[in-house]
Amino acid sequence: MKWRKSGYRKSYSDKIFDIVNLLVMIILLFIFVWPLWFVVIASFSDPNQVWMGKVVLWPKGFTLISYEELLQYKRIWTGYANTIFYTVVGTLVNLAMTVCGAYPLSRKDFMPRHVVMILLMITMYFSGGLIPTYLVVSKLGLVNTRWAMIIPGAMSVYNMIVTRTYFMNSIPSSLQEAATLDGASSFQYLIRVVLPLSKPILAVIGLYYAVGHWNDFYSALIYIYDDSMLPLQSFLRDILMSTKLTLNNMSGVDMATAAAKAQLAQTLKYSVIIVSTVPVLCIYPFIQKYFVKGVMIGSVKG
Amino acid sequence: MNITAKKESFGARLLKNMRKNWILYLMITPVLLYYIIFSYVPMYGVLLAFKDYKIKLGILGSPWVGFDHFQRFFSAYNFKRLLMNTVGLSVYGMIAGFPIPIIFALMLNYLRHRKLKKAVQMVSYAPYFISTVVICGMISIFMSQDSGIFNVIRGFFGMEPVDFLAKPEWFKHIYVWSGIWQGMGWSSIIYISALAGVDYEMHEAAIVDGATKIQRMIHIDLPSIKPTILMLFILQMGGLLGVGFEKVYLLQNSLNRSAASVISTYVYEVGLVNSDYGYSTAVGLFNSVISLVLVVTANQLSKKFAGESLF
Amino acid sequence: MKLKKVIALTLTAAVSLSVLAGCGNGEQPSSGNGSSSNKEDSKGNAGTDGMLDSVSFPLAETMTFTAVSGMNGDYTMTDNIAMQKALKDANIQIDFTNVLHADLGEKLSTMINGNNYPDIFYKSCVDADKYGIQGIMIPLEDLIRKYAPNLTALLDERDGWQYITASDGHIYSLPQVDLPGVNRPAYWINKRWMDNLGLKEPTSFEELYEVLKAFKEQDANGNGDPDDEIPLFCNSWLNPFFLLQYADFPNTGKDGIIGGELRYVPATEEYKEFLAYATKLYQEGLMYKNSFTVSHDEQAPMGQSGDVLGSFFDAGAFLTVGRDHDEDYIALTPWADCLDLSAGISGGTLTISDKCEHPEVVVAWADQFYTEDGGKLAWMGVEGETYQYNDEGQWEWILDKGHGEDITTVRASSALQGGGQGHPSVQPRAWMEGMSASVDPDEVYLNLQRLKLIEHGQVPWPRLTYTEEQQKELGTIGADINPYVDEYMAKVVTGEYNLEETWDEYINTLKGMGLDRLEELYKGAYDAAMAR
Repeated sequence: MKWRKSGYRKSYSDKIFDIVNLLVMIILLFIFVWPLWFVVIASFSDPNQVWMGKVVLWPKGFTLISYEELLQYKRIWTGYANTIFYTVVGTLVNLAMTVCGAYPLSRKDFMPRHVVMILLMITMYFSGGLIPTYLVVSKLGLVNTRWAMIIPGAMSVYNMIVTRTYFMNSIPSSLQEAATLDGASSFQYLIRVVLPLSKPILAVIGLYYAVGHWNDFYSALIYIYDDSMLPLQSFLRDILMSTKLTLNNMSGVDMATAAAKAQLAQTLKYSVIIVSTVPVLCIYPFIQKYFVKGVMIGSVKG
Repeated sequence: MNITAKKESFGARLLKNMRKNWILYLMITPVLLYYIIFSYVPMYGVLLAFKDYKIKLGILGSPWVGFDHFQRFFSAYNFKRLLMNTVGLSVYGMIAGFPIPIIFALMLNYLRHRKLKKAVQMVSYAPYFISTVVICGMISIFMSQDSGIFNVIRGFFGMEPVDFLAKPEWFKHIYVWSGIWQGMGWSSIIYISALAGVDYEMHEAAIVDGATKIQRMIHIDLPSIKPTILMLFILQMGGLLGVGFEKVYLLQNSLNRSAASVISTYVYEVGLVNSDYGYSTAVGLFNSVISLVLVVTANQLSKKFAGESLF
Repeated sequence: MKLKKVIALTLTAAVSLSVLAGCGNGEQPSSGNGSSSNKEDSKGNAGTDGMLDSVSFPLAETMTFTAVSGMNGDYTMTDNIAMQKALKDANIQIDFTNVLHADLGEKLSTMINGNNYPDIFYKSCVDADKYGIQGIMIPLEDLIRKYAPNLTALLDERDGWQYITASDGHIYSLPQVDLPGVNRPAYWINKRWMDNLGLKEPTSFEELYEVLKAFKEQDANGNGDPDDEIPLFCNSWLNPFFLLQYADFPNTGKDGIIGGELRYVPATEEYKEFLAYATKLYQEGLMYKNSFTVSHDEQAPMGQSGDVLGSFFDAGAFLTVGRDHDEDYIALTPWADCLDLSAGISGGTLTISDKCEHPEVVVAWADQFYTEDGGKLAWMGVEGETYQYNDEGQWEWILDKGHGEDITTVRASSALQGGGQGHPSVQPRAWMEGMSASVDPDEVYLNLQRLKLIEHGQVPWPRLTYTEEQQKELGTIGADINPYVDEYMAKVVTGEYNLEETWDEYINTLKGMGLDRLEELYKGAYDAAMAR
């Protein structure tokens, strides 16, 4: 093969590669960490100092006021509970639906797989639009119920395709033949062989879905009216956008409210980011652990 | 005669397949139902693109206007600029944004320091979780002419400060590279997990043969994850006209607008004044058709040149 | 602050205004409170179309309606004690769906277009006229004349019907009736700095330039550093356009009356001169250098970071510089008496959909808010619960009855006016005249400044109406033309374009975008309105 060269050159080239790689990664680490670190220190700093650009590496004018205000802001916590519910239930539904779609489509002995695949892919690029979809959801009686946050987005074709590709490429078809010989049904094979081998992809897809639910405010914007069912992101948007909205009304009778809200937005800005982002960041390591384990199982396929 | 015989045999085969794999058919049923109800049933709404939507008359009862909405869109003063900006941002975003996660995943795969590897992996995903509103807020802080980090760095090298967000020529760079910052770690997950599945025996053989890391990368890893790469490429082609509304809208200001008007923000501007569903459906339909053509083209190209295809 | 003087001024100004308003029309306003407005005593006679011939409260039987309401600040209408009282007194039940303001536009649009809407839209009527013309909202003018004597009297008196009439001649929403007010954010200038430097309040663009120049060159804030002053602060929304309201022709910024014609101001010679002026300010460093990119959200942190702002635009000074320094700033006294005022009558506060079975009951019920007492209920809440009169006869908020510990909270949780959306009511005289300054000195100061502006203002032109087609056209042209005008201004002022060299090309571009058609539409609507 073409890489038969002298041993000296290889290791030399590998060494340079390792050093460059290390350097690039350290720089990348900094590029990723610093902006996030900035948000953290900004949340502990005097808002005016932040805006003046005085906050760079450490908090300036240390204060907890942002968090104190946030604790008193009850709507955030209602939203929080709702978001957790939507994320957990929604992700479970998503995963079940995705496997239901991906597994048959990954099987070569499933006859209509091409037709179904094309049918599903069309939906990625064509949609009836907002109003017709709303009409369907409304006819089903889902509007202004918690289900409206879960059912209309029950699965994504994109993630289904990713899962299907994984099923097809990473699970040897010889396993299926062996299982069939052992007398296992398709379903048993799915439960006993395919799913355990697919933990890594399920973890990844699950995370995709969970983040989608966590950041979703659009479904709530369209389908949920009652503020006791709104997710965290709706309130976030309300806080961050409300200043513009109220100031457009220049009859000015409600200036105190406008001012208070603007003030609140300024103070809450960073702590809200932290509080709404941290849970997702906390879940990640657990999934990653699982994910690494799954990859190990997957690679012992022999 | 021939045809009926063929049909019967197809039906018979299908029936036999259904009996044997009934569980697969059972599983696909909820998925199909879901897409029929939530995607195919509402599709009659595409008719709105050719109608003057009146709520009282409903979608089917509204009067037809033919291609009026399309004509209005194509003859809008800014149509060309909008299209160029939209395509420009997407193409730039793809050229820069598509290979980077792959390179990142490959490099990460060869990083010796386990702890550093884990740390980089962990933090690189983090930006993806931050919502667009926040990202844009951070961009305006970091790009600020007075105190932004980029101008501090420029100042350090004795360069004049630049008001990045005010310059149309900077807009696409800001948009694309902030997108890469936000998404590269996340997009790389799928490659990292694909790389984890690469048969290690091949690497062992290559090491015995004396291959360098770069050689192994190019000759073992890349071919192994090729199906994944191509699949994602085809999928992304479809999104070429789908430049997200939110981020562009939030980064827009009066000075950079010539570069920061895209189809979606235009629809919003017209739509906000007069929420005109017929018109917005027409623009959406235009987008869909172009996207579909792009996906099919990418798929065919991939089939032809790489032997991989989605459908 | 010299409180007494302020109060006295506020009082006189407000009284004189209300007197003026009272003299405007010879008709007899039927004053009084909600219950006395329904003197007819016949009850429950069904008219031909199923409506009651007359309505009197409390109703014999409870009637129930459904409604969508914008949130009152952070609070729901359902829990609002003023609303509860108004409903209980009338024996009406309204099931409110409370929608967040940030979501209102999208939610209403889907709700209505998806044919899933309630009887009433309260404080949430986005695009009422548009939906009215499409037949979703019902015309209210006959109902108002028949069932809402208080509102009818007010509208007659203030010549207010025109401001709430849609382009098809119907009225689809009830108004909020305020004193005529300032339409655009005012221009606030630092009085203390002017005093420090011994300067007079400017009365022309030239003098303003001199004042700003002095702010820049001298140590106006007196802290020893002559370079930390920002003479004029603008942001990407409140750009130098807002200085145009001081020009000697009536305008609302982008449209204005020049030579007896309604013109698109950014295409006129007058505007060109103004651009040259703004460019001069910027080039000499009198205008904040990031004026065109900094967002409005960043104005307040800037204003509160120190004694650095010489002048800026905002609805109230305390919004930018905070409550400790707002009295350093005065709203610049208008140079000509043509400052753009709103008529004070704005529609879109309550609309009734075609699903409502008894719209006459809703209109009659809402009519109670168009009296002094009803206005107080809407603006100040329930006496004894949310406000009370002190010994001097002025009213103040009650902050210890469990409705909130600060004014903002009480206003939002227990009066009907919170959250920035208009509400069907008349601004009670007590609001301007009788507010005790000890409770909210900043609001009282602001009211005083506002009254000064109002004295020099005028409602520039009667309400212009356009057909739906014309509106669509205006929308399409506007979406092209307005951003371009903003962009051009920014580029000229910051020196990227040379005004003289690019002006002709700019006008040509505007023409390419449909300027001529725009002016034609303006002219047609203006001439029609003048002829009325």
